[in-house]
Amino acid sequence: MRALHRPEKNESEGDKSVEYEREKTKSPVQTQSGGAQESLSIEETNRLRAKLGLKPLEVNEKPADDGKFKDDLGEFYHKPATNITEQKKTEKLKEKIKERKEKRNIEEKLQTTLLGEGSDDDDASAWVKRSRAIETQKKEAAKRAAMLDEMDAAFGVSALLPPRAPPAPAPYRAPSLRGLRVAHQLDALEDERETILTLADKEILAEDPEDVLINVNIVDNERYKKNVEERKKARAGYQAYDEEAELQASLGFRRSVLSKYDEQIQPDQLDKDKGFVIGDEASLDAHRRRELLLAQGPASRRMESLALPQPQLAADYMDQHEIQAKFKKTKRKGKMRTKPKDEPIDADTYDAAAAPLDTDDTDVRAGAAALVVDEEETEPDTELHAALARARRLRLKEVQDAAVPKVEELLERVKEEQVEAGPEGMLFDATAEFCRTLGEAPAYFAKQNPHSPEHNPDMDVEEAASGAWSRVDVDSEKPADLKAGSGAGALAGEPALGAGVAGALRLALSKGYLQRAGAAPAPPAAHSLAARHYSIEDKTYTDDDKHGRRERGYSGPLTDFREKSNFRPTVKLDYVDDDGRPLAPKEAFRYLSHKFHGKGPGKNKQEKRIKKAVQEGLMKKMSSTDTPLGTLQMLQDKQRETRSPYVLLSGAKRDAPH
Amino acid sequence: MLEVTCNDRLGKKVRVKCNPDDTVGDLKKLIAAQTGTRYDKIVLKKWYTVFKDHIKLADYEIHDGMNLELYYQ
Repeated sequence: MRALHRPEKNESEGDKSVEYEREKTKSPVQTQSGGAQESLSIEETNRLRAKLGLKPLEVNEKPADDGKFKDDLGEFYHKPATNITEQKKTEKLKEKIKERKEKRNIEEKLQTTLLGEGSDDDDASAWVKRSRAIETQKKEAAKRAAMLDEMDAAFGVSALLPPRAPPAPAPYRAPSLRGLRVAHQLDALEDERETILTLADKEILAEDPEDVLINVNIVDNERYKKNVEERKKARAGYQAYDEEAELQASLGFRRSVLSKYDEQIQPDQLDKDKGFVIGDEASLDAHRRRELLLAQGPASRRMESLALPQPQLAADYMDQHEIQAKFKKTKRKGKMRTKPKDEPIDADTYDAAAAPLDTDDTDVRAGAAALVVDEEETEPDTELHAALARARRLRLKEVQDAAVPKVEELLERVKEEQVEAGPEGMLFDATAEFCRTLGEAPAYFAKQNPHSPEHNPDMDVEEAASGAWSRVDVDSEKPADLKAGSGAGALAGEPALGAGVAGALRLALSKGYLQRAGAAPAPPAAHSLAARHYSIEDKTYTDDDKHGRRERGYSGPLTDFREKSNFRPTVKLDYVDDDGRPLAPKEAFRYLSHKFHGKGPGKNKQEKRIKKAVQEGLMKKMSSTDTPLGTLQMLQDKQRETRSPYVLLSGAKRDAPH
Repeated sequence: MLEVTCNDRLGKKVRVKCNPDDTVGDLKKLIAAQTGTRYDKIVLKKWYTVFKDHIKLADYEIHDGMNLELYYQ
């Protein structure tokens, strides 16, 4: 780094370490080992920033001239807050101004002349003049009105105006009423009495232009009756055997269906059928005649005779009709679904082991059963096999024995080798090397030989002379003589406590319980134990933020714990049975479940498992090259015996006499 | 222009002048120049908030005189 000197004084306020920093000339940006605060001036910072490629520092802006203030981040201009006192003042002023304005307006209005005040002229003459002026004005107005009236009359405007009094109504007679309909029956109109009929209300935009006359009272009566009927009907409900309706139907009237809903479907209609037309004599006569007829008696009246059919002897045989009705065969449409029948299985039809019984999941293989059966039959062959196996085993044993050498043989061999080697040259022996290295161990062995300190100085000199090599007597029983080294001060082993007081004193001295007169033990050099970068200054907690109040005894990890990258552990989960057999995950889980729940499998399950294990064993014992019966082996043996490449099978053709 | 104090509690305490629109990465470079470490080894934190390199100081609302914690990775 180039040597740069600081052109100006450091800007850090009242820092003690400023003087120290000035001494260093390597670079202006070096920190102190004391870890003191350090800050660069703006110029230096700008220089550094230019070197790093950043834009220079922005100096603080003054608030704008127009009095606006920027917020903390320096981004927005904020509106100054409203001054409430000023606001109140302005409001008061406004109110006052308004009041005064209104007062002024009122006073202006009141600026009329009062009775007491007014014209200050000579009273009499002024008044006379005024009164005359008023008169003349009146006259002129009257004249003008008269003129206007004349003009109106001249143009005939008066005719357009409606007449003042309406004319008297012209009386009308019977002929003028011809053709009008009355909405009531003729019966409803009482005889010998006047009934006043009025026009019925009609919509303006109704389709038919016919006017209908009604009497209000009759209408009310009818409505009342109808309502009563309706209420009765409603209370009654649906009448399946409505006698009245039946009667009416028999008489010839149309039978109404669900008459109780008529009101809802066709509400309040003045029936077109009801009523009559004034002046229409013909229809009236017809109507009258019809009613007479009805009163007399209907044309068609269903009459029931009370005569019952003659009682007859019942016939023993059925009629043709009855036969047809009873024994009619109905065609079945579609197929009927037939279930498969569960017939009992006939035991004879199936072989012993091949019956399709749905009892067990596992199929006991026919082969296994056959195996068991066959093994019994082929006894002579298994004997041979057993003999062969025995011989094989013996041979294996010999080979194995030969491989493991016996210890005694080894030792003899070693001794022979040693004798052969002789004293010339350097013999490197494992034991010798081992014992040599023993010579450098600390003073444990010193206590075993209490008289050893006498030998030690001599030995030391010898050793020092020979350098690294040292001879150790392997044959002698004595362990190596070692001297307790002076050690590196504090890290040496403590002197062993001997039998007597001297040892105790030595130990106490070394530990520091006692002090030798005059000689105080030299303290260890301060720099070896002290921390290198420690300074008390760091402990000033000037900031009163949460970091100052944080738990200082925290000695946990300061950085996050990071996992080793690129580490892929090889995971192999192997489960083993109680017997030592490896388990599949499913079986392992089963085993775990048994252990967890404390309940094992049941008897059947256990038997199944045992069977399975036995099966597996058999599978393993089975020869892979041959059939279970050893057919191939038999074939080969037979071939060897007969010394022919073929084998004659026993068959009917062969045995049969030619 | 604001001045930020960075303290790792092992003896390094530096005051760095920077702009509010500087990114945290730039601040780290300035700190690195002053402390002598490498800027990509520096982690600036405040309690458990780790300041990301590409975000400006103003967005983190780091004002004048704030103390940041200096860690190393």
